[in-house]
Amino acid sequence: MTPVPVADSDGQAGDVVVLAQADHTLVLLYGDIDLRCTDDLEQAGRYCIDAAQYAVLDVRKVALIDSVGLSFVIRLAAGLQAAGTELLLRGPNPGVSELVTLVGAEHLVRWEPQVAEQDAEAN
Amino acid sequence: MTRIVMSTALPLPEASWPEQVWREPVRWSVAGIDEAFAVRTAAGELVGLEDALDQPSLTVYASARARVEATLGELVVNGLRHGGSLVQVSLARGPDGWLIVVTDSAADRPPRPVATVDETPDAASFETPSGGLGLPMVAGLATAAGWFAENDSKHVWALITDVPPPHLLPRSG
Repeated sequence: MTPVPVADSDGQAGDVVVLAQADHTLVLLYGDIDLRCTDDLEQAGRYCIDAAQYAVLDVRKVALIDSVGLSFVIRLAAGLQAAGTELLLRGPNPGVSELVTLVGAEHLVRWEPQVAEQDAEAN
Repeated sequence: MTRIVMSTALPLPEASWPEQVWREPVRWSVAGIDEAFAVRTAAGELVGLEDALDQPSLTVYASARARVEATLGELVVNGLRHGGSLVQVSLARGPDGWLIVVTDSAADRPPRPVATVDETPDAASFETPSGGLGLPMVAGLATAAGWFAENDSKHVWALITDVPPPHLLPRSG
């Protein structure tokens, strides 16, 4: 097995970026996703629900996620599921994956096939 | 459909921390959220410096440093949100791990019931109140955790052992 690098947090609040795509909503998370990002996460979540499309949550650049960030992921997944669509997580991010599993929410989210796997399939 | 519901179970037992020989702790007073995150970072750096076993792990949270940072961060934020505007934090090294203690002034308020992910037939929405997953995270990351009241203070503690709980180790096969 390959060792997993410990998340490289710089201690600063992270960023949340929402991009409307043709058929889905793309949410990019960067850095430390914690209580300091609450307002941005709430806005992003509401936008995704209102858009009524599936959403892709890119967590590849997340250094650290706390219970607020984790709650965002779970609530967004549940909200989209209730709206008849779904949340896809774009990784890899072992830290996020481990915490989602730790709180028993792994059944709620689906991870996108990783780019390397997609490339392999294309060739 | 799935939603997050509030459990009525107390997330942490009412108990004191294990009796071990703890080294003199490093202490912080935390008066706000920004300070909480600075202390979380400082604690992680301290563990990284002192913990000879801290090395690249097969999972992120097999690392004691990652577990201390995450656990301490959750306990401090909980203390500030529910226990008052000032909390005391201590981090002590023991024979086989780290003891985190967060003390607030809400002795009459035990740790809140927790959120759990539950299957229900009802539709969920993003309006579900946030939070509630902090103590489940602590319970999963710590080897042991608890709380007790003493005089006018409440102490919430977590033991982070160098060897992680089995469920945080990579699955074989």
